[in-house]
Amino acid sequence: MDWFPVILSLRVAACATVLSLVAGVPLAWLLSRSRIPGKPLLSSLTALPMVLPPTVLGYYLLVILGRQGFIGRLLLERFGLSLVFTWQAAVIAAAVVVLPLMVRSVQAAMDAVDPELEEVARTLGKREIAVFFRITLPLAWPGLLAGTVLSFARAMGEFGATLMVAGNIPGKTQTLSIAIYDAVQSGNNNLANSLVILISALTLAVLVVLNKLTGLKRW
Amino acid sequence: MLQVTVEKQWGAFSLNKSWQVRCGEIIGLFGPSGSGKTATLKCIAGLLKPDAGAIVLNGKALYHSAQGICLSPQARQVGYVPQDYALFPHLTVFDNISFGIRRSCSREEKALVVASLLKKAGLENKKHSYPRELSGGQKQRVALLRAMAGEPRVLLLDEPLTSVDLYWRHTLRREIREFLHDLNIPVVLVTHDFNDVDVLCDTLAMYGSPHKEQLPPHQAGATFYLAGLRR
Repeated sequence: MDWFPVILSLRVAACATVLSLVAGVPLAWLLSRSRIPGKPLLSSLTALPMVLPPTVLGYYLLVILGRQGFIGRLLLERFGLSLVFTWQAAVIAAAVVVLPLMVRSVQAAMDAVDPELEEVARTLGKREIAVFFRITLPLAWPGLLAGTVLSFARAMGEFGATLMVAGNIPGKTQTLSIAIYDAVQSGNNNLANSLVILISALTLAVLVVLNKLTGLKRW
Repeated sequence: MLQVTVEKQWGAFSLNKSWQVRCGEIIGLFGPSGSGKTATLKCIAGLLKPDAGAIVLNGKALYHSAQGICLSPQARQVGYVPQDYALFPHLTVFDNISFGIRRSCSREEKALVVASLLKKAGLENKKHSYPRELSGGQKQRVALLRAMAGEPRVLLLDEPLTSVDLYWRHTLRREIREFLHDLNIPVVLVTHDFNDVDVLCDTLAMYGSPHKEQLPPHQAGATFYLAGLRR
């Protein structure tokens, strides 16, 4: 069996999780703690990838990252880079898809942190950045961990948006779930079976870890 | 000397109080819940902004609506002990107190400061405990020590004895009184317990009553008595 799709999926999921952490934690803080105008809109926007059809998400990404797109053209002209149909495009697609999971999870954990603890820290002379890193974030840690594991599991199985922007190039952008689709399409049921079992086992393992971490029995 | 005049309106609720307290003295903010005692403390700490008024500490304005002054909570150097103490649950007693130290100093210096504070309160053996492992009285003392570690210029205590069981309350009250008088800074204490007023307070500001001005405790006692409130 060709292990490339498995390794690629793991790599894409890991990178996408890091990316969604970097974007998701500040977003969660904004939604939980700040008093910026347009918060309901921001909240809805971050939830959008969860409900939009993956093809629509993929199309948006193509429009943005493609040669004619705003960011795509900039990257091409400045750095000679083309993201579409690379594994990095799969990372971006997966990161966008899992962002809602990350933000919801971290935001719920931050909402549960007693604001009075932060207030006391401020009266003790700590600046906002210190309050965040020494009080809010450590207390929201279980939610952050749960969001990370859940995002990783979801990113492992990402299909629709990934297919749109990264395509199905064996040995280059063919992730595990795309390889399954490809195997079924070409009638290679043996390969499809083993890949399906593999991804099910991997995802189950991740969710077991998640349950251990959060003590929740929801999945 | 701490001079406070605050006006604040929210919803059907309005706060309009004026009082002052000298260094080394304890003022009790006395009144029923919902009369704006905690709101006043938060205004002094800079966690809540009054609509108008002035909060002046030793001649320096922390807040002054007419002069457009409103210092951040970080810049006010107040010691604030909220009602449920708000100890940081993820930090040990040692780290909670050490968190309060404002001066930038070495790890060793911080350890010395914390050790001497713990010794003063007889809590050396709880150094590595987490807040959930402490009794109400111990939590209260740790919260007080954390505020003290910041070398505050005024101390704000929100019902410091309500989470302590009755048995210990009496002893603690005497301890706190001696401790606070030694500090020689103004202390503001929110309470709705007559015993706190009797034992702890040098002067009193009545909340939720027609009394606009502050009173000495014995006069306040007479007022309670007349109102049929006393005990």
